[in-house]
Parts: sequence; C-alpha cells; structure tokens
Amino acid sequence: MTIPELIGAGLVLTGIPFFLTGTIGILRLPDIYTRLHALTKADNVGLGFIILGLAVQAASWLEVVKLFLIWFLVLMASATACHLVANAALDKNIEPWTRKK
Amino acid sequence: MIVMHSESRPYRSCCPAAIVWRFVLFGVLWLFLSGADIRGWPFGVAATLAAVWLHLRLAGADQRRLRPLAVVRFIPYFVGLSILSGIDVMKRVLHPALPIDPALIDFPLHIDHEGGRVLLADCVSLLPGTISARLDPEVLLIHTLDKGLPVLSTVRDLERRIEELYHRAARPEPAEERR
Amino acid sequence: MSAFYISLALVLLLSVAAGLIRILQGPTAADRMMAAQLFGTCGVAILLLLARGLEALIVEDVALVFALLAVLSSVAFVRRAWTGKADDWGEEHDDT
Repeated sequence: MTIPELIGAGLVLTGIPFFLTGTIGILRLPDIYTRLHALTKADNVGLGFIILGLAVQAASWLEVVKLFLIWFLVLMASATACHLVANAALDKNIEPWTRKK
Repeated sequence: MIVMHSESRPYRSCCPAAIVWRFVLFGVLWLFLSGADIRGWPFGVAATLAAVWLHLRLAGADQRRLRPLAVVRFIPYFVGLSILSGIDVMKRVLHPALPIDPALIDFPLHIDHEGGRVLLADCVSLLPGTISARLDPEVLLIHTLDKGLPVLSTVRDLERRIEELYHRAARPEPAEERR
Repeated sequence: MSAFYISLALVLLLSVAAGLIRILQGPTAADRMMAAQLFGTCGVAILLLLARGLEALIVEDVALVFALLAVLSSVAFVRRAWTGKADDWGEEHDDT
C-alpha cells in the first residue's frame, strides 16, 4: 500500500463519523430547523473529507477536478435545499423549538 | 441574438468579449467533465453554447464581476469555517444533554446586490450554528442553534469578506442619482 | 483495499436507512423534505466510495449526475410539492 493510499483511506475514514452525526442529528434533535443544522453541516463536512481522501489517491488531474466539482455542486445543492426547506417551514408557521426557561 | 431576461435595461455582457470568456470558461469545464475526450467535440460545442446562452439569460440586471484573488483568499476561510461548523454540530448532537438553545435572529443586510446576498445566505447555512431561514432585500432571518454564539459579528465578518469578492458597481446606480 | 471502501459504503447506506425513520415519521412535511438532502449528499458519497471500491471510474460520473440532479430535485421538491402557492416562475395554479 502506498503512502497516498494510506492518507486517502484515513481521510475517507474521517468523513464517516460526520455522516453518522447527520443521521443521529435528524433523529435526536427536536424540530425541523435544528435537524437542518445537523443534516446540512455534518453531511457536507463528511463529503468534503471523503472527496479529499479520494482526491489524494486519484489517478489523474482530471479526476481531481471532477471530484471537487462534485463537492461544489453538492455544497450548493445542500445549502439551497436547507434554505428552501427552512423558508417553507416558516411560511407554514412551524414554530421553532426553544429551550424552556 | 441574445434574448435578455430582464427588459429594464440592456446588460453590458451583450458585448462579444462577455460571450467569448463565458464560452472559454464553459468549454474548459466541458473538457474536464468529458475527460478531455476530443472526439465528442460537436456535443461539447453545442453544450457550451447552450450554457453561455443560459448564463447570459439568467444573469440578473445588477451583475458584478468577481475578483479572482479575493476568491482564492475566501476559499480557505470558508473551508475552515465549514469544518468547524461540522465539529460544532457533532459535539452538540453527540452530547447526552443535547446542549442547544435555538433562536431566530434578524440580520440587517449591507450588501447591495442580489448575487452577493444569495451567496451570503448560502454561506450562512454552512457557518457554525447558523442557517439562513428567509432572505429579504434588507434583512436575512437566521436560525441559530445556540443564541449564546456570536452570530451577528460572525455573519457581519462573512458579509464583509463576501463584499470583497466583487468589484464595485461598474457605474453609479441610476436609481440612486434620481433620489 | 476495495473491501474497505465497499464496507464504508455499506455503513453510509445503513446511515441513510436510519435517517429514513425521520423521513417516514415526519412529523411535518418539512421533515420529509430533508429526504432530498439526505439522499443527495449521502448518495453521492456512497457512489464515490463504490467507484473507488469497485475500481469503476464510470461510477464517478454517476455521482456527478446525482449531484446535479440533487440541486434540481431539492428545488422542485420544495417549490412544487409543498408550498402549493403560485410560484414566481411565471406559472399560476388555477385558483379561480
């Protein structure tokens, strides 16, 4: 196993807990807004690490560019979807959960 | 030849240079995506032309040019903050007591063009503890995971950095002169 | 090495499956809409891990298409499926 493969595998492995956080977050958190926080941020960082890990062991520059393009697209999709869902929830008058005093 | 989306005023990108640089940009993008396989060039040219047309058509009336160096400086800042926000949300979600204290916060916007505002709203959703819930021309409504976080100062800093990404307006705003 | 990546893809698949509990439970329609994001981001990650694990670079192109469709699906999902009001893309619902 080469050094880039090892570093790559480590980076990919680092990404996995973030995905699990996203899932635990949407199961554990109390309302739609807080769940969006977990899903949007954790999953994107997780994907970032996976893409970084695959990029360091990519066979060609073309592949690296393609990988980062995928990351950028997902980032935009995710941020936009997050905003749209939060906006739609506000429009439907879904009250944000607050901590009881 | 180009049908403009907004009829309010002719947009300067109708000049040939604007079409050429978009063609080069989308052409290079196509080369990357197709694995630099030149044999498919008729598809590439067709797709590139379609992309140029769409890009010009969808461009808003108040289009600002990006400053490449500022964009390069913005990327590490943005990546660093996104990783922090991932770790932040991870700590909160995995903590047994679920330490969150959510609230809605109004953020008065200073950015005076739509592209920047949309970029700000998108970036806010990837900052630690904030998502953008509603974007109006003057105000961004932010949902925060913890109202103890310095949300306003963090977003103000982000806004300043986003304003630096763009050149100033190419010419004075006609609407402002009239006022 | 490929067993490593394929098992990671399986872990993510299980994570998506667990996330589906929330999508099915709701309680609000907004909670169900997170499906678009869940499948978008996790789906792309799973495809990329499979591309590496199976040494099939073509699957990376599938991930790219998936990423592109994720944008469209989330926008369409929110604007069409739920808000149910005349949108500002020029079309009107007949509510006469």
